[in-house]
Formats: sequence, structure tokens, C-alpha cells
Amino acid sequence: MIEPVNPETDERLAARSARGDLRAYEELVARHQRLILRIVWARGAWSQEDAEDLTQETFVRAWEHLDTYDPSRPFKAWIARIAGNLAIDRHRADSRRPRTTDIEDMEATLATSGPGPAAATIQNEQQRELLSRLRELPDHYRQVIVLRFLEELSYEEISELLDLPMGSVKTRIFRGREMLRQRLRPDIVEGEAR
Amino acid sequence: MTKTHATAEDLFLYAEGLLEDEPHRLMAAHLITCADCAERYREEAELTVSLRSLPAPTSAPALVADVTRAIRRQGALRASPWWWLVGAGLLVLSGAQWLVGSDLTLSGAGAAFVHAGRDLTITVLSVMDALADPQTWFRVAEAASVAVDTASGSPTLLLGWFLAAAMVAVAANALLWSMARRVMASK
Repeated sequence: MIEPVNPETDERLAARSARGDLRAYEELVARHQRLILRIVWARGAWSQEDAEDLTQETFVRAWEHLDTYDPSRPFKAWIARIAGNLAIDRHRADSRRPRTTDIEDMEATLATSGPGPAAATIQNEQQRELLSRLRELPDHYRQVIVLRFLEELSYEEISELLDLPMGSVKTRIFRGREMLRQRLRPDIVEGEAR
Repeated sequence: MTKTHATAEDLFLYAEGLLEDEPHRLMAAHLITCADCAERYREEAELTVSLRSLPAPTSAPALVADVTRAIRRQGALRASPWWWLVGAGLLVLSGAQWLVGSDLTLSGAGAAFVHAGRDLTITVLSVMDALADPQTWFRVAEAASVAVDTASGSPTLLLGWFLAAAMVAVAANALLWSMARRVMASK
């Protein structure tokens, strides 16, 4: 059987990091950077550059506050909460000043990102449309949809990450998808309402 | 379920594999016989595929290094007040020497600064030398013994000695801890 390269748990690495071990913290950053990137992206940092800036800020902020981390709780959930809060603050600050359009940012993301496994069958135009509609969703629906379908986390993981009951996660995902579908194809969904 | 159409929620739960065994089996059978629900199920699955193929940001190769660099930079900033304090102390010292010596020339101030630095270095080296000398520790132990003897008749004085020792230990511990953290962060 192949042994894992680094069998240390997140929580042990976080404890070492809290004692000033930067190498342990680098391992945590490497493990969770993708998740944090997508969380901040889902919360409104629509370009890769914005998402990277905010992800870096999240990890630096977490390092500064490691003494407040409770090792009996999952590190992933703790850092996800920091990322979510930072993204909301940034989004509020951005909304108070003029900036380039989100559509331009999304197009840049489309241009720089590699296609996903099923992308061969989907046109860029459809992806833009879907991204645009996804962006219009209320924050609490958008976040669970991104975590479930883009980050491909399980319902249990999302529940733990957002500190929400499983039932609420299911409901939010279902309602978010329904809302998304209505915005994508209103004529069809109206006919489907039963 | 075979007589009526499936609800949107049941189709979603089925697509996500969240139905219990029996409802799951019934839904599978219903989808074989109901073209309308089968079409809606296909749309449900298509939406999932479309969402999964969205070009969300991927991992950034330089992110770990960027985070480390930012943390070190902040660590250096946190450490800076100490260096400012040492610098300010030297300046005050040289300024005082300059005033006392009444030498108002620029070279005099520079010389005073250098002298103050030299004196400080000599003092630090003397303290280190004294700490390395066993005789120093013998004298400290002797003084402590005398102090305890003196204080033995007075519980208040003994408590005072104990508190002072505890405060020194805490301060030394905090200083060592802060230094160790900074050294580890700079690795």
C-alpha cells in the first residue's frame, strides 16, 4: 500500500504553525489553496487575479490569528469562514467604488482557465450565460452551488464547512438550482411548475 | 409515483443520490415509463454537467511562496520596533554625550554616536562575560541565600522576593518565546 506523503492532520499542522513553524503552514496553504480560491470566487471575486489576492490575504490573516484557532474544530471550516468574511468585506468595499465590469473579469477567466472534464460539449457563450446567471443568485445559494458542483464537495463536507445542518444544505442547493434554471430558461420552467 | 409526475425536488434528490433505497428504486422505474419526467431528469443532469464545467479559478502555482513571503514581511515589520528602539536609544545617548561635552560640531556628534555604540558593545560583552563566569552565579546564589535569610523573619518580604522572581521568569520566557518564533518564521 502506498503511504501518504504527509500523513499529518490539518489540525496538527495548525498547532505547529501556531508555534511559529512556517513550513507546517506552507503545507496547510498547499492543501487548501484551491478550496479557498473557489470560496472567495463564489463570493464575488470573479477574476483569477482577485481570487488569488484574496486567497493570499486569507492565509496571511489566518496566520496572524492562529492563536484563536481551536484545534478540536476542523481547520478547513475555520479558514473557510475567514475567507468568506474577507470576501464579503472586499465585495462591500468594491461595490462602493467604480470598477471594471464583472463581465470583463469573467471573460478573462474564461480565456485563461483550462476547460473542465465536460467542457468539450459546452460552448463558451453558454458558459458565460451560466456564469452570469450564477452571479445573480443570492449569496447563500451561490456559495453552496459552487462548493457542491465546482469544488465537488460532499453534502457532509459543505455542512461542516459552513456550519449548517445537512437539511439546510440540501434545501439551499435545490432552491439555488431552481432559481438558476428559472433565470436560464424562464419559459420552460414556468410550464414545469406543478 | 407511477401515476403522477415526479416533483422537481424528488428529481433533484434522485439525481444527487439522496433518496432512500425504496424511493430511489421507484423513481428509477418511473423514469423508464414517463417521458416527461425523463426529459426533466435529463435537464437536471445537464445543469450539473454545465456547472461542473464552469471555468472557476484553479490553483495558483506561486501562491504558497507568495503567502510565505507576505508572512515574513509582516514578521519583519513586527520585529522592527525593537530595532527602532535600539537606534533611538543610541541616538539619545549620543545626543546626551554631545550636550554634556558641549561639542556642537557635526563630527563631534558622529564621534559621540560611535563612542556610545562602542560603550554599549563593551557593556553587552561585559554582561555576557559576567554571565559566563561561574563566580558570578556563585555570588548570585550567595546574595539570594542572604536575601532569603533576611526575609525568613518577614513573610511579606519573602512574598515580595517570590513575586519579583516570578515576574523576571515570565518576562524572560516571553522574550525567549518571541525570539524563537521570529527565528522559526525566518527559516
